[in-house]
Amino acid sequence: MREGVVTKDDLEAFRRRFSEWLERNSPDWWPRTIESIHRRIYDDIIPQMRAWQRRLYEEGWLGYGVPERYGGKGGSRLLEFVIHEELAKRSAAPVLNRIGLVTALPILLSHGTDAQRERYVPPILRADEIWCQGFSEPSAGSDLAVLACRGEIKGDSLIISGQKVWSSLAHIADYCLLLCRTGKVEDRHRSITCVILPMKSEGVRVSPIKQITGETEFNQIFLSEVRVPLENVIGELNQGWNIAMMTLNHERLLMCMEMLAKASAAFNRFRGMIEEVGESDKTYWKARAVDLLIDLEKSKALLESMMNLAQRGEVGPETTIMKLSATNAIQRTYLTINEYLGGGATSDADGCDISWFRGMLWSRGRAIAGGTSEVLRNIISERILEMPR
Amino acid sequence: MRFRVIEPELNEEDTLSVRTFESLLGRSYGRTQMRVVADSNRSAVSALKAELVNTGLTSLFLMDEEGNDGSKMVVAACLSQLSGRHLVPLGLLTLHLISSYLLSKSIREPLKRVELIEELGVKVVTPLLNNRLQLVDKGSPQASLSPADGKVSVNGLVLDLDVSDLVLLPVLDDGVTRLFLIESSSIRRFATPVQFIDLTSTCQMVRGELDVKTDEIARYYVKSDQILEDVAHSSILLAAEALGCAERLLEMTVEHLMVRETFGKKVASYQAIKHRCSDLLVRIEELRATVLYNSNSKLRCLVSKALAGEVVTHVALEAIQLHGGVGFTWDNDTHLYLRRGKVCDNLVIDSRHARELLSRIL
Repeated sequence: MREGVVTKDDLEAFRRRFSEWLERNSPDWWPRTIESIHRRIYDDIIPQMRAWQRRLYEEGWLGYGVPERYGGKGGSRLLEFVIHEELAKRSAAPVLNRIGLVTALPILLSHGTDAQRERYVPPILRADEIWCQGFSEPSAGSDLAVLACRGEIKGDSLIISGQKVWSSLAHIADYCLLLCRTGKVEDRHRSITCVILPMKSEGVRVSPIKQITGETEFNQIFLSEVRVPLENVIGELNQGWNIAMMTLNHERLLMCMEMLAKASAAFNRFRGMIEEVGESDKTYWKARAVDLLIDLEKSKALLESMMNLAQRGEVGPETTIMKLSATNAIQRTYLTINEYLGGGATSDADGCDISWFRGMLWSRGRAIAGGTSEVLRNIISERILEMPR
Repeated sequence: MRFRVIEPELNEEDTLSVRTFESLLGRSYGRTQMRVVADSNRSAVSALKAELVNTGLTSLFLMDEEGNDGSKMVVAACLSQLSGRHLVPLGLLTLHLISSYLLSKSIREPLKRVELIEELGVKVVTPLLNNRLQLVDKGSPQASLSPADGKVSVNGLVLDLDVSDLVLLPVLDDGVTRLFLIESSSIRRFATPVQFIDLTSTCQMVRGELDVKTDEIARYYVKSDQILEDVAHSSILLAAEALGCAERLLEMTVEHLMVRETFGKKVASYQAIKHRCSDLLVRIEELRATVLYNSNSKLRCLVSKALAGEVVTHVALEAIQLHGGVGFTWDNDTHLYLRRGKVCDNLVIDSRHARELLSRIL
């Protein structure tokens, strides 16, 4: 995908403007604590979150990289990434329709028909319609190319049956960006089709998955002979793999921007904590803070270099390196803070803060979502180091 | 085989400078010459020096009136990185660049700068270090001025004295560090060689007294209040040197693994091995990012310096292990890079000091 041109100075000026705006307008119903960093999107605040995204859009902060005729503002997508990053940095309420904006929208723009773009893009921007993603399956995670969810062509419809897993927001979504098998399994990625699945269709059932944090962010989707019109196919039949993969590097880049924003916010709080330590322990904890500072700074420097590539529209498999680096930074930050707090992070008794433990649990998921660290290492060794499969 | 993921942002002129040095190394200082140097035959070093001063690259930091914006530092970092890849003696390039950076930051008068440009265009300057390889250490200074007789007592180390024309003395004078620049010839008589872990550089111990007033050997006498700041900034070049070592180590390792076979298949095809190599690349690219994207900030430079020692040591030890028995042999180059890496880790401002300075910034 071709990016609109944007310079580093443009991005920083935009960041400052948004940051000032956010300072005045961050919603007070969203708890600005560590808790919000990994908080599931509770059903009871969905209306406020919809309204928040709509406001961001109407105030001109969303829709970059989207042509004006579809309700966007043109320009570079990276401007919008800065919005997500700033929200994460300040632990402010995130954008509700994240999958719609980050995954579905660029795919619709690059491979959708005019009719699809006109129909689906504006409601994504306004959070009128929420999207989820149906890629992974119980037996097709890291090796996504063996996915089994079937799509049989009958007349002018696809009849879809199968199961999807790890679908964030599926419980409230209106549409799912779904990958299904429309040919032989042996053809692997050459017989996969990308389709827009209305979640209200007959035969769709959503079941929540409880995570180690105790929260329920993901869902399973069960599909039983769900009829979807063929006009909902994005791009050509059996071309879904390349379509789905094209947004992967950008998603990973955004994920890293948010991880590092959160890690920096947590680190700044840690710096405050150790100021209160007695002199005898201070040297030790300052040294530990320096370790974290080095982890964060090296990862931030890497992100700057990746943003540089992205500004030129050249972001590719090197985002795998970025993700391993950012995952390390955030995991080590949470682990160190938990070590520092000791028993103080194990309960919510007076003077304790259990959310740091939950944050640490949440950070473990970062090494799994968006490509496990093991798969990323495979990609690095095979595609960059050119070692044999 | 080259696995560089991040590239520096250089203008045309700077790109040309880097390419000039790279082709010079390719022509005059390949692996064969480097191995000969490691066996104590220094003729290739003298030849390289003659060619290097001809390029004009040695006056890099002095050409810029305002004194070294970030872009010059990136060019210098690219040169040091190549120096690390080729194991160019430290005194010939990286320590020269650090010394000339410190001089350029201290000398503000235009006439003196012009004089220095002319001089450093054709001469190599290397700093006097203390016995722990530190450039500024008020606890155990390598040179101090006696107010009674105006003599400078010198007790420290100089790397690659054989190819240096000038020595930069950071002299402690009543609690303040002043920079003197003296002819190398005037301290050669005090020098005795010491065993040094880096086989492609040499190390001389220098101990004696210099009469700077009467000898007129000291050309510049500048007070540098902020020498520690400047040293912190210029230490990025040692991070770049270490980066060059680390990237070459990974290349050598992958090349080896692609050829060696065990249990009927290439060692490079085992996932356990591939993942280790991937982790090495991640660490190298992180280091590269801190070297090339340091925004000329003191914090990033110190992070880079502290990180570099850790990364190059780790990569070298992994390289030795992944080479198997071959990695434990003298003829394999991995140990030469480990040696250089350990020196970079400790040179000018060691990781411990860099971390201490970072903890003060916190």
